[in-house]
Amino acid sequence: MIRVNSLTKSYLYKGKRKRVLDDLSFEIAGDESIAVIGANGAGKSTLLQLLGGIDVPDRGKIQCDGTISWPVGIEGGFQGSLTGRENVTFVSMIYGERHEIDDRIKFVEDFAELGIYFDRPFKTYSSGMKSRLSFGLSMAFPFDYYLIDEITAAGDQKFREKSKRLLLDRKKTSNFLMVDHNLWGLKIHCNRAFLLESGRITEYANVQDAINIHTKTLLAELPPESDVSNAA
Amino acid sequence: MEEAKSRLRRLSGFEIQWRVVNALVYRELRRRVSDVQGGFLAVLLEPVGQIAVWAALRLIIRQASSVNNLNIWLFLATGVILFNLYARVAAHGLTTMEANKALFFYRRVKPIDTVLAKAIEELGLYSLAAIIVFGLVWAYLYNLVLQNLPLLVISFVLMALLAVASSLLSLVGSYYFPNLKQVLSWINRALYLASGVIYAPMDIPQFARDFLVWNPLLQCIELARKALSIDYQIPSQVTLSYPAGFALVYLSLALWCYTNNEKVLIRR
Repeated sequence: MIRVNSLTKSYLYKGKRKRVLDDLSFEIAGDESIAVIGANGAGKSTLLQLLGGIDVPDRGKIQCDGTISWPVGIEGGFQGSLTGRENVTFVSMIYGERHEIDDRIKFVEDFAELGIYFDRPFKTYSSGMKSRLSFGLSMAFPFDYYLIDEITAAGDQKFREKSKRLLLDRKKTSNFLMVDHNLWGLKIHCNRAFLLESGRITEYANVQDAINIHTKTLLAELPPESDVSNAA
Repeated sequence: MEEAKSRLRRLSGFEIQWRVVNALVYRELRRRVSDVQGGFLAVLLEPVGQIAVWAALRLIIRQASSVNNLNIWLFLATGVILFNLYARVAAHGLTTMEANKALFFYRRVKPIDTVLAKAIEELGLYSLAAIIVFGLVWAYLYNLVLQNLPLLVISFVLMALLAVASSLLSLVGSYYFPNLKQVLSWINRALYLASGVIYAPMDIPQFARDFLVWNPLLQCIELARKALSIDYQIPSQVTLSYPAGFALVYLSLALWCYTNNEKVLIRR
C-alpha cells in the first residue's frame, strides 16, 4: 500500500516558483497498478520521482509498506568507463542479497543479450544496447512497485516484445505505476488511472474512461484542421 | 533465462548504508583500474613524487639525512601521505554532488555514502602507499623501527575522520556558496604549510609552534612520526586526546549540518 498526503512540489523557473503538484492526496492498494495520464509537463514524471524517493517534495508525506523501484530503464545511473557487468554488479551489491549477486548478473546478461559487449565499457554501447541493459537491470530485482516511465517506446521490435513479455510476467507478482504516451500499454497493465491536470489528480476506476477524457481534452486544444494546413 | 528469485527485503538504515558504501568502494576501485590517468599508480606516485622532491631539497640544502632523529624518508612519507589522504577526501565533498548526480536515481544512495566510500577507499590506498614506502626504507636502509603500530593506525584513522568531517561541510557549504571551491583550494594550501608536512614543529620558533599545535592535522602527523621512532621529539602540546576530541566534535558538527540539509541537497 502507498499512502500520499498533501504532496506539493514546485520548481524554480526563471526566478519564479512553478507549482507542478498541488496538495495531492491518494492511496494505492497493495494489489493495484496505476496509469498516470496527463499532457506533457503535467507532472507525471515528477510524481514518479517523488514516489521513488529520487526527489523530495516541498510538503507532504509518502508512506509505503513495500519496496519501490527506481524509474525503470533510466540510463543515468551507469558509469561510462565501467563495463556492463561491473555496472550491474554495483547495483546488485546495493539491491541484492550477497548470495544472489551472481544470479542477478546472469539474469541481466541473458536478457540484454549484449554478448562480448557485456564486458566492454558502457560508454561504447549503442542506444539500443543501453536500453536493453538498463531495462534488464531494472527487472532483475523483484520490487513490490515498479515505476515505469515511457519504457515501451525504447529499443527495436524484438526488444519491445521481450520487454512486454517480461512486464507481463512481473505483473503477476508486482504492481506498476506507469506513465506512457502509448495509452494502449497502460490498459494492459493498469487497473486504475490518475489523470493529472494543473497539478491536481482526478482518480478513475476505469483506465479507458481516463484515456477517453484525456484524449478528448487534448484534441479539443488542437486548432481546426483547416487552420493547421493553412499554417503549413 | 534464469529468474530473479526472492522478493526484495526491506532493510534497516544501517544495512542499506553498509551495502551502498561497499558498492561505491567497489565501483570507485574498478573505475580507477580502468582509468589509467587516475589509476592506482597515480595514488602511489603522487606522494612518492612529493617525498622525493622535498627529500632532495633537504639533502642538498641542509645535507641532513634525518629530521629530529627520524629518517628523512620516513619523516616526509608520514607528512605527505597523511596530508594527501586528508586533502583528497576533504576536496571530494566539493565535487561529489555533480560527479555522482546520476547515482542518486537509486534512492538508497545518499550523498554522505559517497563521502564515506571515498574516505575508506583513500584510507586503504594511502595505507598501501605508506606500507610500500616504509617497506622500501626498511629494505634499503634497515632503518625502520616501528615503535607504536596502534598509534600509527590511529593517526591514519583520525586523519580520515577529520577529512570526512571537512568533506561533509564542503558538501553542504558548496550548495549554498558555489564559489567555495576556490576558497577551499587556498585553505588547503595554507593547511599544507601549517601542518608540519615538510618541517618538524620542534625545528621552528616557539611562538610559531605554540600557534600551529592547535592544528589537529599537525598533531596527527606528529603522532604518526612519534609512532615510528621513540627518539623523534614532538611538542609537549601534542597528545592523542586533542585530535581525537577535535575529530569527535568536528564530526558531530558536520553530521548535524549534513542531516539538516540532506533533503535540500538531493532536491532537484
